[in-house]
Amino acid sequence: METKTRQRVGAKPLTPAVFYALLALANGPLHGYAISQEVESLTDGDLRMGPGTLYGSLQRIQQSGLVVESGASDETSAPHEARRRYYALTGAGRLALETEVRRLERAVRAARTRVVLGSP
Amino acid sequence: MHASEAFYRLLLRAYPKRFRLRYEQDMVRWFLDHQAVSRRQGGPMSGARFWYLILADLVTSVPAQHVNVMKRDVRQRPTQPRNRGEPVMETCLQDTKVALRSFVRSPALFVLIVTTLAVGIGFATTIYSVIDGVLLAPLPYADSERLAKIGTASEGEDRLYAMSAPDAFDLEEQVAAFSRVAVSQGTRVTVRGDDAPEIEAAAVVSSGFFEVLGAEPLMGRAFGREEDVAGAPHVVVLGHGLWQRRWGGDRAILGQAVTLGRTPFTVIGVMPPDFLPPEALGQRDAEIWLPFSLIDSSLRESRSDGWLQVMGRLRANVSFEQAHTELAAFAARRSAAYPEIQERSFGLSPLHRETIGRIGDKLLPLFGAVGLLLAIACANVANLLLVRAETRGREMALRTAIGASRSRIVRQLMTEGLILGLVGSVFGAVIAATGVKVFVALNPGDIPRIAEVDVDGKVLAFAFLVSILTSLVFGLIPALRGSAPNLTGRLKDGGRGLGTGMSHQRLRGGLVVLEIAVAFVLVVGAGLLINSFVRLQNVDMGFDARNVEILGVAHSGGTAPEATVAFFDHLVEHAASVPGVVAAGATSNLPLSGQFAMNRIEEVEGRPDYVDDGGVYYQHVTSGFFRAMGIALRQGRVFDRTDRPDTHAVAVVNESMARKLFGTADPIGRRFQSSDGDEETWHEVIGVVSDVRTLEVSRAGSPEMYLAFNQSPRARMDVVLRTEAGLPSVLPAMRDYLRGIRPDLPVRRSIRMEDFVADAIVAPRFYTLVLGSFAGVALLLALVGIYGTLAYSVSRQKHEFGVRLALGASGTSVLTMVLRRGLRLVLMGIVLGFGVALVATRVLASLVFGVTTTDGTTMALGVVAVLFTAFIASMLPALRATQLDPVAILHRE
Repeated sequence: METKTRQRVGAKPLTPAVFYALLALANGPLHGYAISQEVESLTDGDLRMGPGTLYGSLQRIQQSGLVVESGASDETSAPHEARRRYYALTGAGRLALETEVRRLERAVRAARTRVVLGSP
Repeated sequence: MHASEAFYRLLLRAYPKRFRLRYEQDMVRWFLDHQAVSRRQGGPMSGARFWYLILADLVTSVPAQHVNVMKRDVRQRPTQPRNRGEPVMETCLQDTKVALRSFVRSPALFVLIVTTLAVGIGFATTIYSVIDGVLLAPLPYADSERLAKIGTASEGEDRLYAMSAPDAFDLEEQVAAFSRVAVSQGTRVTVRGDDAPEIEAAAVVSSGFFEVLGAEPLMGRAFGREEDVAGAPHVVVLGHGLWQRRWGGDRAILGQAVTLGRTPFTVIGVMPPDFLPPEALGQRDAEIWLPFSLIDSSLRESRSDGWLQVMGRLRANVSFEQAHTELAAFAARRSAAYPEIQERSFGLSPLHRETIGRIGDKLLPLFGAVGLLLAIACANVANLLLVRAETRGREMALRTAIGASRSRIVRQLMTEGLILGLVGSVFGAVIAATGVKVFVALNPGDIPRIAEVDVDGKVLAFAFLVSILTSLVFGLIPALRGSAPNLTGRLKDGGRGLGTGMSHQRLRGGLVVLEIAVAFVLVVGAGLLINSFVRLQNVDMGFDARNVEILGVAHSGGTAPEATVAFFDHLVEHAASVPGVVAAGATSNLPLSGQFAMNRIEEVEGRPDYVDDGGVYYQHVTSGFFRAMGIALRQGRVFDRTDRPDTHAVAVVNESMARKLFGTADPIGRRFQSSDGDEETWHEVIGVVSDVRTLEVSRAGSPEMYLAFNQSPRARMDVVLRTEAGLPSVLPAMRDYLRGIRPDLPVRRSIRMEDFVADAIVAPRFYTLVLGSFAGVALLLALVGIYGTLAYSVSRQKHEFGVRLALGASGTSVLTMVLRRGLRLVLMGIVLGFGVALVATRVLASLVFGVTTTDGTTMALGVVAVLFTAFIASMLPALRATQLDPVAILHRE
């Protein structure tokens, strides 16, 4: 399972939604709305994830084994409210995130070189 | 629960069930969190921004989730190995392969379905092409929606009448709503030159004519304002077709002189091939445009003579209503400025509307009819697909049993529908392309803009859409039913039993009833037109067209009346001497030629109270005309040599006119006064002849008088020759003779009178033919539908019939059983169709003649036709049922 995931992640760049969701979870488990807010602040408001997009992405990365539901409880919720679901990165998730960051670094480096060389 | 939360929960139902079950709570929580946050932040439009985010999110993520589900379905199908490549593409290929294989297995059904579709779509597309080209498409001019016909309006009438020249030119100057106004008047001119003289349609136009239409010459120039003024040099603009025909497209024609009538005109321009003159201004085939400078000054200055067709181009942003208001103000100013002239009011109407006129009354019923035909075709396709779905019930059940999902099966059937639709639409397009050519070739001449009718991309898209929709919708019904989860029943049943087929059978029966009903309506509609047409053909015209030939000659060129009389006297005398000619005469207005003249009777001797309403038709004829045309003399005498220019004016009247003027009194020797040309003349009635259908075959009883040609000669005459039966035409000899004595005179027409009469009813014949062919095809399709349904139910009930026959039932009783089933459907269809026909045939009101649209005989004949068709369709399956071999059938059990 682990190897399969790594292959797939290595082969295809992550979509922005997936990448930032993973990035948002890098510092620890978060619930859905917190992920959205974190993504928004990480991208300076460029990427706003609505609930459908967010949970669609979460479903996808859960199925690929990059994220799991964590047991962390929610102290702030009132007793009558349903328990919030928290999500956490798996090892595969962290690996996918690192791979993607390296890929992006490579891309940025390549672009910078090209721009520097290309400009008169 | 807050209303917005409830609403959001409702919206969430758009997601696939699985996704919703898993995330609904989280998403609602997200929603509430974000709502709280955005409320806290506040600010203008925060609510709007919030809902925008929510809705945009739904719009993008709902389809994505559905696609996910579909992909998963495909991946998880156990019959196929897990496949990560392009699963959707691959299943499509797979579906297509399966579909094609199944078509190859039952080619007859495939051909039947495709043919039915192609015929329905081909016919519908043909008529839609015509409707689109004639009624819907904008006129072929730049910004054509701003073009208007302008004219003298008459209270309570929807028509615009011609205007006088001073009014039209004042209007252009004073009414700001129009950027340009143009006047024109259609005419005919003789083109002379090296080739034989020819008469061509032409128009005298003012300089704005081409500018209003937004048309530019292909080469050379259009008329300038200086060419509106009397005395300007004689110039002409030619149409592309005439230029090609007559001058072989020679570019050197510019600046050269061509002879029109007797006058040389310098060619200043040639119009492009796609320029079509405006039919609404009486210029259907005009290919010669002459400048307004040619118009005689008396006509040009007369404010009371309305004779010009006027059109104008509205300025941008000016509406027809605004223009109308301005025209009213213009009319008021005119009345104030010229109190001595009769008051007039002016109106305008879109040129498009004026062009198409009332042809919609004739074309839309055809469109309705073809829609019905398409409905029958659809019902047939649905029926055939149902039969197909049922025969494949076992196959589908098997596939479901080994793991095909319901959506997979639906997709399979829809793919088949799509393929049928595609193939059907391709053949339909071929039929439409041919159909349009046939329609245009056969067009009766009463359809405007026929030259613009073509099968274009839009029309093909229409065909494609209809075809795909038809086969998808009707493919889907059996698809949804066919995939219904009743596996065991179907597998056990093996496609024989009755149980699961019952509701299908009812549906198919319903479709057949519908087909019969619609076919009946079409048959009755066509029957009404056929009935009308037969009546038209058998109308007593008042003359005898058999063995009559016509030679139309114009003795043109400003010759003295005496010379004209001498010329035609000579020509008629010669005609009478040609071997085989029994009688010869000549007339100024040949019956049914479309040319007619009307006059008012000012006074009637002995009837001081007489007031003429409606006027009378008149024509100038020679003494031999009545015998040559076969018009019966009822009383008195016709013209003879004693009626000379210097004797008192005489007239022959028809029976209607005799009744109108003198009632039951003896008309012979009585006198009436009418204006003949400029002077009022007293005419003495010397004879009464039978009524003749002068204007239209369908119009009887118009009062008409005949005046002596030599007492008031006309330059354009039709020589009428009655020949002995069975002889070859004398027209070639007559044309040769004319060329020998007067090579400068063009032959206006040279035709058998019978052909001429046939031409006069060519429009009714055309509509009869079109609707008749629709009805024929409808019957054929209904026949296929009935046959298919009965044949299928017989094959399903083989077992039952086998048992019956084994138990001693006679062949006849089985035959009756099947026939009775067919008959029940047909009778239900006829009853339904009868009700519809009573109302629907009213749209044919403008096309029928001599019958009401609910004519009993026609309805009865329609019933017979449909019953007969149904009988044939039922007989084959019924006979097959009687010939079943009970031993073989029961043995198979």
